[in-house]
Amino acid sequence: MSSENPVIDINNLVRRYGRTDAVDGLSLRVAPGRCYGFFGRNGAGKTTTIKCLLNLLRPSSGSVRVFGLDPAREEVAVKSRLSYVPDQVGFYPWMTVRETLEYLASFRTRWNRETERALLDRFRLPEGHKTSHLSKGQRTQLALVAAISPEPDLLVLDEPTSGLDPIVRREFIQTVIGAYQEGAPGQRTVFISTHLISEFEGLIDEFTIIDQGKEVLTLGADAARARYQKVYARFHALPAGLDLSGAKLLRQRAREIEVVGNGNATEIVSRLNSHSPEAIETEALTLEEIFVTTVQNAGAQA
Amino acid sequence: MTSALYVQTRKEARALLPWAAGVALATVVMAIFVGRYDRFPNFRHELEVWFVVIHAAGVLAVAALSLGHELTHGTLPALLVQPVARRRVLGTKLAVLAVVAVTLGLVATLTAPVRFTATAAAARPLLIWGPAVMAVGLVPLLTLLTRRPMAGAIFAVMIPGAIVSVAERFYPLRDGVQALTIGWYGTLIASACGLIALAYAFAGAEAAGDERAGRRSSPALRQPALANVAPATQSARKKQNWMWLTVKKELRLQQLTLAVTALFAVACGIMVVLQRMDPPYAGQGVGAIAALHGIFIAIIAGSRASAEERHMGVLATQALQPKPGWRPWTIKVAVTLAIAVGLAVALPALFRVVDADAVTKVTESGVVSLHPAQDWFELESEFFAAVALVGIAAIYVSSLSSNSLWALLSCFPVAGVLLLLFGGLERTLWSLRRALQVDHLSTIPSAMRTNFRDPGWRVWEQKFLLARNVQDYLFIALFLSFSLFVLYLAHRNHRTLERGRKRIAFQSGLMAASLVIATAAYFGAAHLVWAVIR
Amino acid sequence: MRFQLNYKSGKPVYLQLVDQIKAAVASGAAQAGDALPSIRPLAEELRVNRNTIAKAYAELESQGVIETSAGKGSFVSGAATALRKDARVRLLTEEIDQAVVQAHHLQVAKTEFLRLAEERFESFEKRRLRASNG
Repeated sequence: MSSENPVIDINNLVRRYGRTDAVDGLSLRVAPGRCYGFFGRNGAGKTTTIKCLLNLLRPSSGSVRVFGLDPAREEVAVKSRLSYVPDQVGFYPWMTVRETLEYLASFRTRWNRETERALLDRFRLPEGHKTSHLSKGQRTQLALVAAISPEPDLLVLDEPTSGLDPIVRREFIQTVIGAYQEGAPGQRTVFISTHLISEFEGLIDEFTIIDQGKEVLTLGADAARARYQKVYARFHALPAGLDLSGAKLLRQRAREIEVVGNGNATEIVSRLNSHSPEAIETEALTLEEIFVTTVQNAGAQA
Repeated sequence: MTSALYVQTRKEARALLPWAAGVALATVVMAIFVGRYDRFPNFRHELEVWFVVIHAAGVLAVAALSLGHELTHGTLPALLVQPVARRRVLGTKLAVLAVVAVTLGLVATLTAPVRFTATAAAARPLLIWGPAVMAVGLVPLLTLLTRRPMAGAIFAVMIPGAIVSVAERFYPLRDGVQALTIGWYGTLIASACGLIALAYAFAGAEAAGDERAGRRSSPALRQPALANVAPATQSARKKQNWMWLTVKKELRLQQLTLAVTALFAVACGIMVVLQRMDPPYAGQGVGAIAALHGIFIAIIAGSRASAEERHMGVLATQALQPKPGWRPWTIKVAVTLAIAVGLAVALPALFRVVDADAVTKVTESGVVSLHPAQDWFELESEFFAAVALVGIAAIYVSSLSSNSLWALLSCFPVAGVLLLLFGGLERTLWSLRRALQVDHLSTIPSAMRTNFRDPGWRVWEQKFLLARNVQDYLFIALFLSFSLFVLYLAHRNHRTLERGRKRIAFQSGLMAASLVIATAAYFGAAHLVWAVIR
Repeated sequence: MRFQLNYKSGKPVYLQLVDQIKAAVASGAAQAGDALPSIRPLAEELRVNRNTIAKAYAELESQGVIETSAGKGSFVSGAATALRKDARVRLLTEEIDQAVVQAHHLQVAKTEFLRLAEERFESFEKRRLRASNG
């Protein structure tokens, strides 16, 4: 995988935008065929990064390469192979659903009519309705149909499911898994920026957490879950001289203690075992919990 | 044309054509209107000026839409993300815009009532085709740079004005028309440069997706809405704070209006300075510009009043305030009209102070004053009312529009329709007035009509005057109540978030009906008044 | 076949699938020749990356638990039966381990625990007999 050219290659990206959103030396690499998660708080720099990928903003310094090309220099070549679903979808209000799709299709050389029809049927989008009369969920669905039908090699999603009802959210994720990755699963890459991490838990292969414009953590999803473990121990009486180095304390009560370890869970467990606890349990953290722990840590250290 | 190009061109056309049609309608109607006043050359001359103004402003406003509609719908990032060269996107837009501009120019040329005096012939290219050329070269560039549709159109007007004014310094108009020719060629050159600059600017444009005016506006504009939610136990002092905050918010909303006035002031200032430096240089009268400025300010201020907030999306929050809705609305209307009338009157007043000795011209017979200061007074008293009227109309149109550029553009077809109506009904109104006067005169005893030394004339004179005064007050009262009615309707539109064709039709019907009733009431009451006084 | 993915177990998702399919085969829920759900619908249903499902199926195939024929899909292979007893016993061992830990916490002694186990077995048998007769 790493020998192939990365689909997205960001090196030391620096770009300030507005008063809050800024990127300050971010680097990441996305291999083809992966589902890459990009997590961060509001204003951490996610949207700025994505706009730099799409040549909607130009980097102040550092480099951005998509499919090995510079999006600012070779705009058309890059954009003909990707699709973008933003969080605030903009459509022309006088156009119907059908007209909007025709309009967006006119920019593309490749457009799969069958996929378009299948998705329209699945979402039950009324083709004759004007876009101004669609609900927010329907607008996102329309944007997704328009993004998937040209069969792009890269799908960039920016907060795609925020503000949508649970059914629409599920259908969205299922569509990305199903319809998008249909043709050539090894070549279809998904880049998702979101803070609804629990929903995309199963979908993400690899992720980067960004905080205050800097990269905080980059890991594969399975590896992350294996590494970050919560250890819970209950004692008859809390022993003195408990060595908790290398673990972050989550909670401590009269007889219980809960810590998070980073790759050293077994060592922590054996240390705790030496004090003969009544009960000891380990549990992996979900990606969302990893995000919360890591970002809080980073914030505390900063 | 490939089908892809066709689809994209069609979309651009669809964005521009409805408004272009409205502007064309207003232009044609104005031309017809002017044509009917052949008998009154002075009035006709003023109307001709208005014809040019409507045409120019209309073309520029439609041009602002070319890039402006992407900004208001938030579709600019989506457009720039498509796999198509930016050159082509811009080219499609400009091609459609050029066709629309040329068409509007042709409409104006064909219907233009300006007589063929030497000045007019030379001015024609600049006045009729100048806006079309600017529409393609300058307005899109300025819209892109300022990221505000209205600003782009407004500031584009300054450029030919500046060129002509400077040219006039060296080639005064009374000596020949070189100034206008220079103005025309200058505009062409400026537009060509603008076009090139636009190509570069668009290729390098950044679009982060929050260009919609609402998101870029500062939180200060939204905070008053929240600050107004005061607890139930409100002391009198708190109430004052709330009103002051609302006033401040309204002033912020009208920033663009104030900017426009500032620019006009600068332009006039330059002219006064030039006049002072070289007295024989007459220049355009500050008065003419002031009149134009007044009406423009009224339209701009009015169209921003309601539509801008609707575009920003803060109306819902305001509708939920625990305050009777008419209070913030009253403040809004008061501030808007105050700004409109205030600025309209302040500008000439300011220059009257500076220019009090007027422009003088040295002739063989001595120094002759060209613009005597007394003119300003006449200007103000009716001007006042006209500006307020236009402002109220613009506020009403704004309450039905979803953003201020559309409100501005809607004023054109509305003006066209109003002119049509007025033109059509003018004869009726005229004959009604005549009937009233005949009624007055017919009651004079025939004996007195022949003998003008009769002391009874005094009495009749006083009765006439009294009747006239009462009728005038009656007229003013009816006029005011109609205006309040229009403002009430606008308030209803502002509060409820729904707008629709049925609503517009219904309200137009209401207004037409109330106008008819008011007119009938006026004439009926006038007759009654005379009968009583007699 | 029902799948339950636990993101808190720390185990890679594809391994969880592998284990659950193996358990299903072992317990008889999936018999030789049964078709496995195809990759796309299963991925959609579990809201999991396709690659994960593909990886799980590849692993199962390399272990000989399933067979894939092009165009027709994946099926439980006949050779899987040999795993049955081992897997079954292992599953039960896990359950018993948990019960033992509970017993320790609740301070139930080993003899008491075994007596209880026998009693529960007998009552279970009685209920089964009644169910099959009446």
